Amino acid sequence: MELVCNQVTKRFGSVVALSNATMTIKTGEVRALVGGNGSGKSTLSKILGGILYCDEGEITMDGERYEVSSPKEAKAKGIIMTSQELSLLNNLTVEENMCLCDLDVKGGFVDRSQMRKRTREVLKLIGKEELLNLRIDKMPANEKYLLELAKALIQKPQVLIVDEVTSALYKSDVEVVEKLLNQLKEEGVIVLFISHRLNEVFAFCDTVTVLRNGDTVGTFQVKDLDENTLISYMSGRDITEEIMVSDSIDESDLEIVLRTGKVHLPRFHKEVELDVHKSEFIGVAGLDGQGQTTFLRSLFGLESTVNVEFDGKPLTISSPRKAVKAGFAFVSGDREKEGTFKERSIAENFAVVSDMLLKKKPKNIDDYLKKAGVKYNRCEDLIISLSGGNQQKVVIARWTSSNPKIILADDPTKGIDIQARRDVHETFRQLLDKGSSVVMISSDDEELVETSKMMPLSRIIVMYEGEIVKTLRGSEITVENIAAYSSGKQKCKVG
Amino acid sequence: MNENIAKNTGIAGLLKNEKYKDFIPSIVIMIVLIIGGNLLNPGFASINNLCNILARASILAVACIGQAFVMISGNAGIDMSIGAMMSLTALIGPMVSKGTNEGLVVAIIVFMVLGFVIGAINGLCIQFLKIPSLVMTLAMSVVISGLTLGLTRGQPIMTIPKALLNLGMPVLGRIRGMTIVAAVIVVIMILFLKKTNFGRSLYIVGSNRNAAKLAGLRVNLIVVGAYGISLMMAALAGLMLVGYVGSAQLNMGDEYTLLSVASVVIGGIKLTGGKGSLIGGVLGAMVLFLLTSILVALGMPSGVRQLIQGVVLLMIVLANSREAKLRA
Repeated sequence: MELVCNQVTKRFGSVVALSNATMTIKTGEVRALVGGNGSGKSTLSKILGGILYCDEGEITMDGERYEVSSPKEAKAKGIIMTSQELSLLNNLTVEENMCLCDLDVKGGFVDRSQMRKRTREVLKLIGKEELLNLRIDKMPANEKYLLELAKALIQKPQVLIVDEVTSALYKSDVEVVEKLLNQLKEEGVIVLFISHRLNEVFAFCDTVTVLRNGDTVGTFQVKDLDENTLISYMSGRDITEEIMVSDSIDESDLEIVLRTGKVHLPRFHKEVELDVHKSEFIGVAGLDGQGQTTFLRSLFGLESTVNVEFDGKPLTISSPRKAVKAGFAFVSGDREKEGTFKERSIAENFAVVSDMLLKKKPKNIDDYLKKAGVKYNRCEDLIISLSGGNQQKVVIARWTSSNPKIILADDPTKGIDIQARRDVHETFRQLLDKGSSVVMISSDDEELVETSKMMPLSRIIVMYEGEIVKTLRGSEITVENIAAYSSGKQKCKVG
Repeated sequence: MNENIAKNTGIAGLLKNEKYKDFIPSIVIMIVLIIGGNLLNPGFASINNLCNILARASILAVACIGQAFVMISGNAGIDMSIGAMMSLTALIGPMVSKGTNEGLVVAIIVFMVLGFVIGAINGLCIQFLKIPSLVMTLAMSVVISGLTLGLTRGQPIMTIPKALLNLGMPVLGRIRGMTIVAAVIVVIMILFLKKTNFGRSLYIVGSNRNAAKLAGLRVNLIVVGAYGISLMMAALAGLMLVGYVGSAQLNMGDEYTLLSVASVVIGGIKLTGGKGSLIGGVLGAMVLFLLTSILVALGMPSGVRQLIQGVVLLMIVLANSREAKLRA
């Protein structure tokens, strides 16, 4: 069997998510698909899985044109995909979940004993027979991930797409996955293994296709590669160990604004600690879902109560209200859900914090908005009359006009144009000059590097699986270093 | 800037202006109904008749203030206990007042507080126990009705305070006292909504609960407050109702639940929250009673009346939801 992608292209509006992706996978091959945030690896797998259509190009299976319009059709052709977002239904038992796509029926009724039999067989493969009859919501995350894999296996795939299923596995579970992949290989199944963990690529896979910003960089034999070469393919820069010299900046005499103490990240069972200096910019790097967002939200009282040291005094943050009153600001990148009040005017959207909470009515709204670079007609207009970038600028101006001591920003420039981005960065820089500090998450490594260069005092922390794995300073702040540590570089020595 | 000024003057400008745009359907329908009513039934448009309709609409106008607060608070909020609260107040209010005007003052205060407390219980259960507002307020309406039935033992006996009965009398020309009372309440509540921190936060909270929480607003407090105010207004409307009718019947306020929903929807308040004004609700109330009066004047049986009212409401809801889709 042979799966060929030829010049596959996918656009979302004006954004090209995947451009001319080309690769060939042969029977019994375990192929890794790697790349950073927004590289197009999920898009490609979704096209194969029948969730998205491709705009251009063609996919063939054994020379036959492969064209599907739904996951159901893809399944009929033997392409099964595990889901990154768990697809298991919490209120059903393991066997019900396993057989959901293809229920056993006898005389018009569901045949439970047959279901149980099939499930037992597949559970044996993943070494979790004891899970039979249990309900999903009673299980820990790692077992759910394994079941997700089992659910794909029970459908007897010819092509199995594993979408970052190993995110939350324990070491012993990883071995199970490895054994399983080997077995599938012998059966002649094609496995497409999507991952951002280099050690897994080196441990499980035969070949690797690298994507970067939607482009196919190339396909390589894993055994011919080393870690640094792979990272340089992913980040698009040459990298050598020598770059990683640390500039010594003496941080001891800087004034600390916020000492977070140990902040617990429940999903990873880990704790993160960070000291933020006055007038400092901290960029938080890492692949999506490594605990960055949870960490920032915790500091704003959105997860549970946290105890921090703020301005030299202990502070208990139990709600956003408390955080705001103490001098925190939180800019969310999810404008629709957490930023704008779309039924309300620009002025109301702008003044909500300063006016209603801090009781400092802004005197001249127009001045503020102009300074923030918002292009608008009248401030009584509805906020949805503005473009996305301008809406986000209003949301940011909402916070900056209240003179916060620290701004927590969760990917604040997501989905806005380049010029709007620059305006946002400039606003942050001006705040730094005024003595505020900024902690900003970004999924765009280039943005972090650029922004940190603009700022008088800056640092990048890289998060990986709920830990700060590296702090980069000065000339260490490069896209390739961020890419390296984001993929868990130190941890792949084993591979 | 000059362009803007030009755009917003004249009737065409008025039609385009966001602030007034939502009122235009109600005003147009009202004019059509008055003219049409007069054609079908000469004398319909007489000042006396119109003032009478206005008086009946006044009760609904007060009742729909509460519904408006709940709907503006967002999250598909709806208060189905308004009618039951009105019945409770209409039947027990006069008993508390013992038929005297001094007692009436006590009754007003007692029932406003009681309404607020029951409404706040609605709000608390909705916010903290995550019960859908439709289910919660419907269940509460059953509880309130039960309470009414228990307290009256099914046979309300009462003397209605004179001040309350006089609400139905003309005071200013042909305008009834109750219209003046309603106007005062509406103006106070409009100011409350526009000028106080609570009122303005209500719009913000209704527009986007997550963003409001991030901005540090006390979302729970504001939503609970909105439900409290809803039944507080229902209590006042209940007292006005018994004064207008002049006698007590069980469940006399129940129909106002759906009427209040209908009038705020006609008035352009978004079912999803964050938008709308009390003026709109008041206009909606007038439209509804104009329609009812025409149907009564035409001698339609009550079943047919309800059917027509229902169809009209359905059409308006459809029109509103379609518009929202076009905008997005």
